[in-house]
Amino acid sequence: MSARVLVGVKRVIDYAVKIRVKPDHTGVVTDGVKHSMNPFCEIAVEEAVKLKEKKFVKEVVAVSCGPQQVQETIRTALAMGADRGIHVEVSGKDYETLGPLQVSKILAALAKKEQADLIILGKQAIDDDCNQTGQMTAALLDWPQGTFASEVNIEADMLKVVREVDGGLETIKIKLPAVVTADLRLNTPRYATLPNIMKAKKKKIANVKPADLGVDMSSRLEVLKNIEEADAGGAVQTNTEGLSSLVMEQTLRPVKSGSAPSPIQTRPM
Amino acid sequence: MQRRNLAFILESIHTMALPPHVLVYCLPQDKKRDIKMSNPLRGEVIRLYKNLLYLGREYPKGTTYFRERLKAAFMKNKDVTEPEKIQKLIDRGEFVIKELEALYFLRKYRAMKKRYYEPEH
Repeated sequence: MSARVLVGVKRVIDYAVKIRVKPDHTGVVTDGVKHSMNPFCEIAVEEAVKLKEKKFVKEVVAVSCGPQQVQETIRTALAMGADRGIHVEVSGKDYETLGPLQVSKILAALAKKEQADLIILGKQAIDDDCNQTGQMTAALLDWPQGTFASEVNIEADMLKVVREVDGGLETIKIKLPAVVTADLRLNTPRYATLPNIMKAKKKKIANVKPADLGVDMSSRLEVLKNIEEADAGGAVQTNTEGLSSLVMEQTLRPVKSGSAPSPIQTRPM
Repeated sequence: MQRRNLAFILESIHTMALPPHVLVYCLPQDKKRDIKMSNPLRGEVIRLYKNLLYLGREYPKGTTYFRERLKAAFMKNKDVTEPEKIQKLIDRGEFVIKELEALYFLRKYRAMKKRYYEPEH
């Protein structure tokens, strides 16, 4: 198979770091804080590399959008087995307002330019928890999508995806080219050890600007306030017989206001 | 070839029960260099140390904690000379690398599972 896979990776604050809100409530403290690749993106890269090892795809291209530091994340993807990287330079104001809509436009443009047959993304980023980029990219490209994938198999020119949904597992068959978003149980990502990182230094990372791809980076969302919420995180657990210590996590809920209707409902850009 | 000579030399040192530095004086120049270079496994040991140091950056109890203990563990064995013993220690080091990778994966997996998924009964 001579397919090319595009894998999107995002540089986020490390999952183990305790998040602190800026005193002026405009965002979260990111200076000097440890960053790493989004865990779901790691799973996506691992799946792409596994497909390459099984000889279903020919080339794995890692893509990331952001400032200069994002190259570290691309290097990690290269160390895990990607063949080359593409760094889409977004910095300053554009980076602060960078969201799933802009990223999906960029990925759609890149997929057409690189003639990718498959796009694999993480299902959501652990910083914004949007869970939108994969779906939006598929819509912009008019490609089928297999989201929350816990198993991916290529059969001829069709993709068999087992999706993890609330009711259990759903198996679908979609035509290539397609977009897949990786869920937690898709695979076990390999660790990018030092020898692999050294070898990855020889691999190329291309620089691209969103303007080159003809993508409009303006955002329709404005973040009004970020506040801390001292609260038990996630689902409220009431059936905890035997568990004497509930872990209290501080969760942050960005308060956003949209000035336009949901982007998914408007015509594709 | 080099290794066989070195092992032979070390073996003969032990059997002769003379202190090694005395015997070094009696050896021709190139053999002295062999012993000073201590071991062809030296490169592997250094590589192992660098790999472990790199892995230690993500250690839950902190990088300095890990680095101190790593250095202490390596320094404790600095006088080992037999290649088989050194190889055994290197293998143990590789095992520790695998254990660390497994630790990091499990931590991350459990954190993600707790944050994003309903608790299973």
